[in-house]
Amino acid sequence: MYFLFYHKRHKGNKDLKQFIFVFFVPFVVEIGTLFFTISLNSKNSKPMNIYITGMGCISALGSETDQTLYNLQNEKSGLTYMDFVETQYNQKFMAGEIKMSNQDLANRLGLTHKIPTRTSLIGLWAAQQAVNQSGIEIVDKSYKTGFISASTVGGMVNTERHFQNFLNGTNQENFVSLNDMGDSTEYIANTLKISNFITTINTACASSLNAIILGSRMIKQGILDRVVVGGTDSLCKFTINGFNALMLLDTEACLPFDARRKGINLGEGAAYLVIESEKVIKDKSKILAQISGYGSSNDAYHQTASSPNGYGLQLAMKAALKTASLTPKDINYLNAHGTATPNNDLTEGWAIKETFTEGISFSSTKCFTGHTLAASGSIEAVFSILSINNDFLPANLGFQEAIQEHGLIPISTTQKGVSLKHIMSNSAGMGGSCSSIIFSKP
Amino acid sequence: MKAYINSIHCMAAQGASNTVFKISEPNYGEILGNSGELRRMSKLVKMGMYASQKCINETTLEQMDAIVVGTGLGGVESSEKFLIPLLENESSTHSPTPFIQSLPNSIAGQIALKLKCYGYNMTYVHRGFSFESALLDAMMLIQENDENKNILVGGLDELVDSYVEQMRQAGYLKEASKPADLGVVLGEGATFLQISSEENPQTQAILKDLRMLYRPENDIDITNVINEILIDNNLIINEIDFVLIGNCGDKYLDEKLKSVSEKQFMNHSKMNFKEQCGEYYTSSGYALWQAVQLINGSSGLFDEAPKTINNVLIINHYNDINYSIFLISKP
Repeated sequence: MYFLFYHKRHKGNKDLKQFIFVFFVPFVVEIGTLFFTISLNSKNSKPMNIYITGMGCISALGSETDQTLYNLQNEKSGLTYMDFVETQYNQKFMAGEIKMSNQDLANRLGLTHKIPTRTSLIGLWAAQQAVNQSGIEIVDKSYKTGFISASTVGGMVNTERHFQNFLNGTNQENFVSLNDMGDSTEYIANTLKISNFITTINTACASSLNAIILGSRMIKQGILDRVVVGGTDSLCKFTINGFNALMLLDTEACLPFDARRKGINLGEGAAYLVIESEKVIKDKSKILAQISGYGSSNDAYHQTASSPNGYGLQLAMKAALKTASLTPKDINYLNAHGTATPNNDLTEGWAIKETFTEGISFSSTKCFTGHTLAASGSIEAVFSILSINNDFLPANLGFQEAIQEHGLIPISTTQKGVSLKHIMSNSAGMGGSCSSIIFSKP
Repeated sequence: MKAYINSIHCMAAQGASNTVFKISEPNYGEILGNSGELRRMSKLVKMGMYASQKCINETTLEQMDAIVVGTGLGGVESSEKFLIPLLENESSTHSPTPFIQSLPNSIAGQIALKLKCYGYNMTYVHRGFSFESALLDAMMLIQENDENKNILVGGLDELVDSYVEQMRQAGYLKEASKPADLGVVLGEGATFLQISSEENPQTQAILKDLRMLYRPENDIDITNVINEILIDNNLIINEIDFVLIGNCGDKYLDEKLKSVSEKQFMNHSKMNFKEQCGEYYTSSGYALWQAVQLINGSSGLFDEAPKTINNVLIINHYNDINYSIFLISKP
């Protein structure tokens, strides 16, 4: 509320805004924290801890967690030219592609007859891994279980295969019912037999982080006891050409936070977490990490570009710290959004600098997986949890030269043997969506 | 969990149709200003900008604490506008505008941009749960802390000819060659409402309850949820003055709701609201608008409606998969 007030009063006076922001906001945040705690306590008698007990991930780094961890720790990027995507640009732009055909994926999932879209296939793979690891029994009706998924383009990869036939009047396929973003969610939920609550989020590149946040909030409010959250997106002609039309793609491996960066490498993937309320976890040894804070806001600056100082992202990071009752000094590492576009890494850098005035260890893992759009938030959540549980920080591959304006230097080689208590992860997307989350060692 | 509805605006088709229910587009410029920006907006974005602005204009507020939107399909027209030239010739130059506008969160994003609203901003894209998820999220926000007092919630979907044709080919629609009680008639619409945590002089209705039900096995599953809602809100079934039912016109898909309607609400005043607006993912937005009109005695549609309406129940389904139930009451 406070932000809105000063913004209305001092519209257009940027210097004054900066001044008020830098000097007065920390004070307001302090009061806000106090206020929030009181109001939370008055509504719920005891703040409830929420834990991650399972995770699954499939990306250019592999389909198994061990493989993903090995590649992350050993600086082995998954970026290549494309083998499976039906696009003229498959040898022009590098991307983070999952090196499996739909048939391979279906075989591994044991699907014998009707094969769903690639988005559903990779989503099911990751969600099933997460459920298996957590050991939750979904059929146990004494618990309310939900599924919250995210996707930006849903079944577009399938639609673009049939659309020309549709235009020519020769289409025989029912692609329309697989095209929307809810299709993969329902396919995965039906296969996992989750029915108490299901929904799908699309806030562009911040989608799956918002799915994790919604799931956490629903558990905190007692609406659900446990929830599978995450996102899935497949590479397709539509997004490759969309980002190409925006002139945001790099033909070579992307260089997040580097002065020489040229743009994004797109990627595909899916990742899901099982989140449970502390009340329902039977086996405490299953706990992988705690979700201790989160924040979402809008940058309200431009449809595709972020504001010069990454204001929306600053708000999200500060809100995450506030809900976690932590200070910037408590955060050991930040998994940045770091898409490697000139605009994102400049503005996110400023937002990081404003939030972590005393500095922070950070890197972007987009140089391993490419930008997996809706899945990026949950894939990076898995990476963050791997970091917490294996005491390492992933490298910002290829980094050489700091961005002149803010001069931030990311972690450029894997750091092992680091003790980590709290990790923050950022996501930001078109339409101004900005979100931030904090994972903590339980 | 409840929310006060202080303002609601709905764009929907009016009157019966057996082909499609399309909205008659207003003069957007009157509300949005005739700028170059307006000309670049897709129909769905225009609908969202227009309905949200009309809704905000009816409140005393200039700013919202959060914006939450549901859209089952997002920008279908933009999506095709970008896809078709791509399929014809991928290597030619393509304008990014339809790509940007095809993103479902471009609506909530553009509203935030216009209002300079830095608050929570979310977009749900889950079929017949899109608008419901947005409302649930907004009600949770109100519950969570005192920072979110006034929230703008929207539900919208546009109807595009080629989508209608795809749905026809897939066998979903009513056609002359089919028995009259099979298939659905598609519609489109946009509903935006402003909800708050506290009652104020503008309050038109209270959203007292909202439940979503995924793939119920039979009508008893649905009846059980209705009974839960009644018990939780200290109501008996005869205190429900009007029931808005979301049957789509296909006898197989409507089987469960028809049975609920006949068994539980035999003597109640009721109406199949999709006969007015058609079938679309966020059609419950239209029903919610009708419910608020009924409570305020300003609904012109229902001659047989009782004089005083205190409680309205909306029972909706999409494709016999996504069921939702709303309880709306007089303040």
